[in-house]
Amino acid sequence: MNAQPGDLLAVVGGPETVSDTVIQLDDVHKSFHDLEVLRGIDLTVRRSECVCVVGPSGSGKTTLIRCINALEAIDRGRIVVNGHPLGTVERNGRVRPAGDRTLARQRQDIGMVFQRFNLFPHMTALENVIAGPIRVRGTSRAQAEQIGRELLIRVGLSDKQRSYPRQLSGGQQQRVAICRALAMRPAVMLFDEPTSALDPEMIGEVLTVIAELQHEGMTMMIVTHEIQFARHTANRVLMMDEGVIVEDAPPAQFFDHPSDERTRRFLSKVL
Amino acid sequence: MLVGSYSFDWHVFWHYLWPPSAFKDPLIEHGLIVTIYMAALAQTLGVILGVLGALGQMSRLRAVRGLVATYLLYFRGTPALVQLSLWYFGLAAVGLYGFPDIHLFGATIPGVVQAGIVGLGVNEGAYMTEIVRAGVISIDPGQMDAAKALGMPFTRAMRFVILPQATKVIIPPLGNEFNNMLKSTSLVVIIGGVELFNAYEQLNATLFRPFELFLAVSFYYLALTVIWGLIQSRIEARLGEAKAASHPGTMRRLLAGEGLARSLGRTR
Repeated sequence: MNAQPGDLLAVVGGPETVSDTVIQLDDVHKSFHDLEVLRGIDLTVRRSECVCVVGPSGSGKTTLIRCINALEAIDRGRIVVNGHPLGTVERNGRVRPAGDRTLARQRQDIGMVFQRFNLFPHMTALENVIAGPIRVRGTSRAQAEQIGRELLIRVGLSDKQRSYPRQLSGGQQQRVAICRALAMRPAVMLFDEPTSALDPEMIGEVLTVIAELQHEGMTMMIVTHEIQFARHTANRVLMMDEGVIVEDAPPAQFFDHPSDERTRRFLSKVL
Repeated sequence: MLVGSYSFDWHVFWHYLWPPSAFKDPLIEHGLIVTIYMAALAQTLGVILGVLGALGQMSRLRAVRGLVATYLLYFRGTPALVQLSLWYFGLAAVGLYGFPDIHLFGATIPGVVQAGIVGLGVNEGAYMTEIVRAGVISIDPGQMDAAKALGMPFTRAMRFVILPQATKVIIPPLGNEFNNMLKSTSLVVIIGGVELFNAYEQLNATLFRPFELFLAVSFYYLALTVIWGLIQSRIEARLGEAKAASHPGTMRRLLAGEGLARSLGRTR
């Protein structure tokens, strides 16, 4: 990367968080057919916190983070993001499932970065970044492009604005994807295994950007297998196993004095 | 030339095959034009209905999905000839709509041609629904996730993210559909449409030279489908260039006979 990323949030104008609690989950359950993937999740993420979620595959980490963006509808419980209940609307005192347009509006404050990047292949890097502001926020193209260019410069992709995703390396694509999410000026950023699809030599350039966001005070939840990154960047580390959170502690305590047997077993395998 | 007891009239054949002499008959020139624009408009209608049908199939509302399913069942399950008759004669008989001639910018679009466009277009829409649907489901679900995560409602995600990508998958079968449409326009004779085939039918009614005339008109359809095949190859080659640099070029594919084979196409 040409330069250290810096002042990413200053470019978009900083996140708009309305309350100190940015994410709150109460007794969240989710099943796929007969398989209960989330079995009662309670979780609070405060403003500017960086929460890393670790755990064996199949423990429900990805489902959890997808539920917090309403990409999966939950079966039971409640999710509140940035002060707004997610996936439901209250009308005349009755709570109903939210429709497509309401869900879309609720998702605007939630940025998401995917394992497989999911960049739009028919758009250039810059077009990917400005798609949200223009098509969703109604920002003028000129202003969106200015912000988009600035974001790409700050993640070290100033010369890739006109490149299509297939012309970019995995690490570059993931940095574009982070810019795309940031351009929406989200209150919180969700990362679903952002480095799992990357070649080892590209993991660092993506983690650097995420660490910079943490440094700037972005509220984040990151599902990751990068244990060292979690240890050094996270404010809190969660351990998930079989659909429940079995450990929730600051990194020092999580890695050095885990209280749960399952966490100890997991750490002994990955460390 | 004698074929069995039939003496082939080369003069009639050449006269009605060779455009400069054939077009002296206004019926033929007019018929060719009607065939081309009827095919183009019916195909356009078919594409529009196909997109709507595919979106309808994905609707959360059971009533909408049921409507689309019924549409597909009927229009793919009955002959186009029957459908055309129902549109033109059936609707008029029950007094619903009689397809009056429309005068537009000094030109007249006869009622039969309108019925032909509607009939063939609605029929085509049923086939296009499946093609568009196949295109949409070929797109990685992660694309819809990403569009949703940006806060796009379903329709905007479709318009800006999914359909532009699905187009690449839809174009090749769409080209084949248009090849078919160019030929299907001849079905409009059943309701008395004045198009290319009808022109030769009328000629035959006065000249009684069915072999020469229908052989001549088949060359006109062949010309239309071959020309379209060339256009289609170019479009697909251009799409291919956008997809991968290694895509075989137009010339190579033409030499391999692919374009021609496709122009001769399938019949439904």
